[in-house]
Amino acid sequence: MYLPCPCCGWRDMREFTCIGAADYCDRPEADAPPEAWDNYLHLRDNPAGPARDLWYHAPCGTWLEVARDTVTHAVTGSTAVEEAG
Amino acid sequence: MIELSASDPFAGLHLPLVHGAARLDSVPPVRITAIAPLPGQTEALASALGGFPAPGEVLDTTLRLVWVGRGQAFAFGEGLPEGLERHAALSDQSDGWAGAQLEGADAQAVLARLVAMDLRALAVPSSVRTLLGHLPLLLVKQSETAFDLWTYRSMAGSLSHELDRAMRMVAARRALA
Ligand SMILES: [Zn+2]
Repeated sequence: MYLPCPCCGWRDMREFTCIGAADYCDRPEADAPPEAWDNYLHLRDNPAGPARDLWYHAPCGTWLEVARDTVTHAVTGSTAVEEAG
Repeated sequence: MIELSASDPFAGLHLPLVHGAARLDSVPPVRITAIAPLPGQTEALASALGGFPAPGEVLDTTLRLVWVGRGQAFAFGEGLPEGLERHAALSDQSDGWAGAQLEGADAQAVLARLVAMDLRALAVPSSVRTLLGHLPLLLVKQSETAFDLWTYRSMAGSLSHELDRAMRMVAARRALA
């Protein structure tokens, strides 16, 4: 499997670490209700189809959000988390 | 004050190694300064340095500037411009890295066994952060037949071991053909 690093281009999967669903990027506000924090920390969708994952490319130090399809295994793109804001 | 004496990271590892059409030797010690632009300072830094390398770039000014990661470059050599600390975080990395050059007609064939990248497609000069086997690697392509391979100093033994093995395998294949 190859993944596109926004910095380095397509690279072998062994260079990356998978952190999990990109939900980790959507951190609730500090005063959000417990339900929001419960959702953020523990609840995931497990989609069959398009999915957003958070990966880390250790060689260059880029955190990236990868768009892929869990049914077809197609990887359709990525963006640097830093640039996504 | 204690006077420390410099030592070769590849000491005792029997460099240079020569097998078939590939030769591995250590890169002579050189000052390495990591340069990370402070927020909003990349342009000012670039004009002070004569440029700042984009991903994969190697720029030769009075120093050699090598892209080494997101928002970071290494300057190889002495003589950083004065006042650079206003624009960037600087740290001396000279003792932290070990560099060896793999050179020869079979250099790419040797690296093809260890690095999961097509090195033929890269410009000369250019830089890549990747892995050599399990080792973190900064690769600088010097020519189609010469590659500088940098890893953390503590891994110099593993670097030369992996390359020694791959060089022997490629040479053995050539001998059979
Ligand atoms: Zn990268």
